Amino acid sequence: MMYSNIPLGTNNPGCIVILVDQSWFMNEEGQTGTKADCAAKIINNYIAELVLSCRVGEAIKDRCHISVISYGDQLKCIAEGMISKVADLAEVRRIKDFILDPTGKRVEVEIEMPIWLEPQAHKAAPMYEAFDHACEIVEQWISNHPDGFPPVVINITGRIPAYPELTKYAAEKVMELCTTDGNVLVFNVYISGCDREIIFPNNTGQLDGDEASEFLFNISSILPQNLFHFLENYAVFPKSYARCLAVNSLTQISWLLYFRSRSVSRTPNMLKLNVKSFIIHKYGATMTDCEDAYAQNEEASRYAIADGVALSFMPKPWAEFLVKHFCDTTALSLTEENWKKWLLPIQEEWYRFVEERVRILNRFFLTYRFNKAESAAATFIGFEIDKDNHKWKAIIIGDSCLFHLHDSVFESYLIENSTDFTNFPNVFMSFEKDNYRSPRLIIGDIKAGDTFILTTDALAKWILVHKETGKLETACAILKAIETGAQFYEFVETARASEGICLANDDVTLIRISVSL
Amino acid sequence: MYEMAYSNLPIGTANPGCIIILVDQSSSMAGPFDSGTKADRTAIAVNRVINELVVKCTAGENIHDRCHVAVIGYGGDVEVIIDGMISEVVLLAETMRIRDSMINRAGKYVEVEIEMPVWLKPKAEGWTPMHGAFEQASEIIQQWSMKWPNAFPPVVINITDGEPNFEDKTREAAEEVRELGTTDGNVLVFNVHISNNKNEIILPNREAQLGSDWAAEFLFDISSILPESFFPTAEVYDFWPQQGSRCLAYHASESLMIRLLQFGSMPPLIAPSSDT
Repeated sequence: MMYSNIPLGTNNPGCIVILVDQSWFMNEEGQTGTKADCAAKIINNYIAELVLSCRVGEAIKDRCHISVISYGDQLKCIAEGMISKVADLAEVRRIKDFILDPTGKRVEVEIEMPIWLEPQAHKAAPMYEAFDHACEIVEQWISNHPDGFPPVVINITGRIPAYPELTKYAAEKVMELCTTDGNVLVFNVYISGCDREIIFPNNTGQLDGDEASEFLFNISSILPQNLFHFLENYAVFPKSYARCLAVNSLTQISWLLYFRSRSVSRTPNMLKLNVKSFIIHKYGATMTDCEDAYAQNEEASRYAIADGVALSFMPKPWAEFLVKHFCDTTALSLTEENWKKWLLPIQEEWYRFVEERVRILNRFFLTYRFNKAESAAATFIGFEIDKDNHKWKAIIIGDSCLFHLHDSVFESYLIENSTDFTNFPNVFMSFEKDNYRSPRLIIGDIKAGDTFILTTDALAKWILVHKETGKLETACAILKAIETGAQFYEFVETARASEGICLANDDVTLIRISVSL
Repeated sequence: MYEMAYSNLPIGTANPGCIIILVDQSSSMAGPFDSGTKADRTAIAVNRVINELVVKCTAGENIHDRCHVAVIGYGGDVEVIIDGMISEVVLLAETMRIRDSMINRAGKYVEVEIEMPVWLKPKAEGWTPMHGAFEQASEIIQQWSMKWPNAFPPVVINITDGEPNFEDKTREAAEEVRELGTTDGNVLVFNVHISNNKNEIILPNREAQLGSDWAAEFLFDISSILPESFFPTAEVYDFWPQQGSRCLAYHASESLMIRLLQFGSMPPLIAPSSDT
């Protein structure tokens, strides 16, 4: 099936070429400001959204290649490169924008906006030259990525080109290029000057007889059927033979190649999860000393692990209350914004528990720390799968790690290198006064064949060291083969005693989730 | 000296540490120092550091015996104030209500009365039998290292405000302590000389840095050379040792005394993760 190798990650990146008209026609009035203003706004927003969709934690994953070519008094390359490089090229500027406040009122605010392209309008460079240039870029890309999702060329203009025949010829040449996954897709965005918005028309009758849009209709690709489901998220329902053309639609191109964060295929089948969880204390200790904790709720597909910080005050109950609360309570879902509020009932539960314990035990070294209002600390991962919509989301703080294995890709959150583990990970604290590090929210797609691994720092580091020494497959094979608690203990003992890559003597928790249809 | 000396870390219940603090309690300790007397402030610092050791040896609700702690006072005569594994030491604590400031549950900075554990009470009387304290330390160390022959070597921290009564005997006794040890290295002797003189000298590596002060030269001589395995941790305490730096703080203020105590008692605090 064509157009099915949806760009998913750094090993299968996408390619986007943006052509932007900067001829003097762009001085005409558009929807807001001149057509040049509109074009610049569309492009800056679009690239910003792309960058956002490729962001994982602090890092920007190179999930796509972008070229921005303007054609004004000459062809000019505005930006070109993998997304992380392009992201760095932006100039961040404070601009005025309108937002809707909570009461629904339109208010003017100043926001920081990354700017790649300035609105400009000069003499004309022919559109066909821009397509020719795009052709070269795309050819080059395809020779390096012969099986990838076909490149996408987006052309933004406000006019009918000076040499229609040549332009048509050049655009068709681009459309004829292909990878094994399909032909290059050419999208046109037309800024007409009137207000009417048209998106994905399937016959020229829908274009009100506007000559320029009719011309662009003919040089726009037919929207592949199996990309239709992408658009449902935007409440757009294209018909068969819809063309990749948008008229005056400032926002709706943003669905284009929303790498990674959009679902790949919507099947009516619910995913099945095979979940195994294991926990073991550090060597020489007992389970009462184990300060790791995990919990799971199969019905809600929620899983959580936490690693209590040994030197903090009463970390074990804190770690246990955190995971239990995440899995069993649905009152308030945990996000990057409301985590402090989410923690409140757990903090209260911990406090009441510890108050009671300290009173009963009556040991001065506990009473003293309790009276000094010392906090417990724990790293945490809460992980949730939406089996119907094939999504996952995770909220992570600290050095417990989530690994996602799919299509022979290995993605790791939040720590990516074994050298990044420190003795001072970020943590959730049991008193609000001590909390100042926010957790990270990560979302992604999930499909049959994927495996997720949630684990605390010792095993996470062990896995990353294997990855860095080219032994990732061995490590994954070992971890995927563990089925029973006895096998897990045996694995941990062997790994701790290993002469090669040694598992640090620490509490170890592992939750492994295998996905099938 | 062993090539890999001072490396048997981390300390844990199967490989405990040993910290011995010698405290000058002679009459000169009644002199003013910071907001009290030298005896007061030293007792507060020593209690604080022992309490920190207790916290670092707490796992959940329990104490793990990750180190042996002894405190020996010398003033008039020599007195072993505490001597035992940390779980035994915990039982010896008395509590005292003191005024303290803290951040409370609600995140407010408040002054409170709080129960503090106390092991060492301030005392200042008689002469300065420092040699006797070192001899006492020797005995404790010999017994301890028979039991833990391969552990990280014991650390002795001596706090004084002046000079001993019998220099030669003290030199000899300190020398004897420094010759003891385990297969992981010799005993480390730290000296903290507290004083109101603002000219602090921290971890000196040449006698010349001390000027021509007889007492300073004496303490320099009986202080161990700081092993390089302490260097990375030194920076955490804002110490910047060099090759050959001695385990000595001279003309130390109260805060420097506390820092050096914390630094010297640091081995049990490094990654207390392997409780075997």
